[in-house]
Amino acid sequence: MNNTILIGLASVLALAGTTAYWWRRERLVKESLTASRDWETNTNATTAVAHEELRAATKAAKRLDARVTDLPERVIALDEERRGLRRELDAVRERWADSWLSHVDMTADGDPPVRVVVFDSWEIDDVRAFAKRAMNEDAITVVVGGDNSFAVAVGDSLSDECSATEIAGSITECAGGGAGGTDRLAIGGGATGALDTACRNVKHSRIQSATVYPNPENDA
Amino acid sequence: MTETSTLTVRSVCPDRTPEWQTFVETHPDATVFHTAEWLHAIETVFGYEPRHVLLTDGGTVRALVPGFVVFEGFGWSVLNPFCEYGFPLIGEGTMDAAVLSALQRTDDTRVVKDVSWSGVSGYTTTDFGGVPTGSSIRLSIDRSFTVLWETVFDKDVRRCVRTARDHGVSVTDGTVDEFYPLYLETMRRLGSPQFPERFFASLADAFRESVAILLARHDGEPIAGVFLFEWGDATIIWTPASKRTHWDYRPNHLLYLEAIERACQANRSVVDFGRSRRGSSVHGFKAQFGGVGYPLMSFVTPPHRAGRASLDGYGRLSAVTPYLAPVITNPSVGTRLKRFIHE
Repeated sequence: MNNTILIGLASVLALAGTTAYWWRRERLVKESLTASRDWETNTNATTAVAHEELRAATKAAKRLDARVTDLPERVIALDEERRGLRRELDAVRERWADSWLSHVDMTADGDPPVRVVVFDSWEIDDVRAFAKRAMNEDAITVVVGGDNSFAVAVGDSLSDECSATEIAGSITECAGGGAGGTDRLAIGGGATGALDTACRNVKHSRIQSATVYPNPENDA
Repeated sequence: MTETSTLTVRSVCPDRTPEWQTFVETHPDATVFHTAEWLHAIETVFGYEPRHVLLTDGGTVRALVPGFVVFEGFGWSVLNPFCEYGFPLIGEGTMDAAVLSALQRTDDTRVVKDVSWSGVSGYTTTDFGGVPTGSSIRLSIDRSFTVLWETVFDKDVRRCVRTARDHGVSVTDGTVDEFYPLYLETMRRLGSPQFPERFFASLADAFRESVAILLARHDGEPIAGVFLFEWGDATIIWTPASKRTHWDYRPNHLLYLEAIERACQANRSVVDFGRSRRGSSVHGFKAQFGGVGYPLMSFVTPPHRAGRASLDGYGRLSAVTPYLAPVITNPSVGTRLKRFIHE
C-alpha cells in the first residue's frame, strides 16, 4: 500500500468524521431549538398568566379553607349567603324604621305638613329605609343622615301637589350634591354644604313646620 | 422594561453579597436552591468554581443566576448542580430575554434548569436549546390537612399509611448521622454515587430550622428517612432514603404524609416532591399524593451543546450501575464520582 492510498483513506475517514460531527451537531441544534420553541408555545405563553392566576386562586382558596377546584362553588355559596344577609339586613332596617316612626311624633301642622328628621349617625341605607316607611304618612318627610345623605318622602295624599324630586332638587341647590328618584321618594347625597340649613330653608319656603332630632335631642 | 444593553453582569459571592440575599428573600419564585446557603454548601463541599451572576441596572438588582463551573465529560459548563431549579430570578419590569442575552455575553456554556411554573420566557428568542429532563410534582397546600387526607390523597395512600401504623412504624425527627446510613444504602441499591456525609451536615448547619430530617422507625430502628427543605412557603422533599427490607411496612408513605402535615401546620403553600420521569414507579408513588406535574427543561447556550444537559445517559446506565454499586458507591470513589454526576 503506497502513501497515496494511505492519504486517500485518511482523507475519507476525516471527511466522514467531520460530516458525522456536523450532521450530529445540526440535528442537536434543531432538536433543542424545537424543544425550546415548543416549551414557550405550550407552557410559558400561558404559564405567566396561569401562574399569577393560580397564585391568586390559591390565596383565595386558602382564605376560604377550600380547594382551588372548589372555589366556584364556594364563591356561589358565599354570594348567596351575602344576598341572604342583605335581605335580612333590609328586613331589620324596615322593622327598625317602623319602630322609629312609632316613637317619633309625626303629626305636623301646616299645609302641606313638612317634617325634617336629622340623625348624625345614620347612613344612606338607614335614611332610605326610614323614608320608605315615611311614605305611608300624610306628610312630607325630609330625612338627613350623618354621611351627607338625605331622602325626601311624600305621602300618598300629597303626591298630586308635591314632588319628592323637586324638593330634593331645592335641597341640592342649597347644599350641593345630587339627588334622584320618583315623585314619592327621592334620595340624595354628596352634599358639600350644610344639609340642615338647606332642609330648613326648604321647610320654611313651603310651610312653617317642625324639625325632628330623634337623638340626642328632638326640637320638634 | 430593562433592555439588554443596560444590564451589567457582575460575578458575585452570594454569601458576601447582601443584595443577592435580599433579592432571593423577596422574590416570589425563589427556591432554596437560589439561596446563598445552598450555593455556599456546594462550593465548600465540592470545590466547584462559582460563577454566580448578579445583573444590575444603574446599581439596582434586576436579576440573578446561580451557577458553578462543572466538568461535563467533553468540556465545562456553568449550572446549578444537584437540584431541579437553577432558573434566573428576574425582577418585575425586567425583560427575561434581556437577562438571558446578558448571560450569553459571558462566553460560558450555560445550562439553565427551568420549570414551567417559574414564568421565565424568552429562551427561543435568545437561541437557548432545550432538553426535557422530567417533571416535578407539586402539591398545593390550599386546604386543611384533613381535607387533603379525605379528598385529595389516593386511597392507596390512606391504606399504606394505615399499614405503616398497624406495623408500629412511627416518624420522628432525626440527625444527619442517623439519616446518612439509610441514604448510603439507597444509593448502593440504585448504583448511584453518593453525596459525602459532610454535604448533608453542611446543609443542616447552614439552614438550621429550614432543614428537617424525618426518620421512620420500627422498633426504634430507622428504616426510612427524608431530607426536607422547609424554606419560604415551600417544603421540598429533596432526598428520600429507605431500607428495602422494610418496604412492606410502607414507611415512605408515612414520611411523605408527615412532611405534608408539617407543611400544612406551618401554613406553607406547596410541597414539592422533586423530579421524576413520567411513567416511572417513583413518579407513580409521588402522584398518589395528588399534586400537579410540572415539566422540567434545561436550556443550554450555545444550543449545539444541549446534549450536556441531557439525563438520558444516566437512564441508560441505570441498567448496569446496580451491578457496579460496590465500586461506584465506595466511600473513596462515590463521593469523588458525584462531583462529575450533577444531575
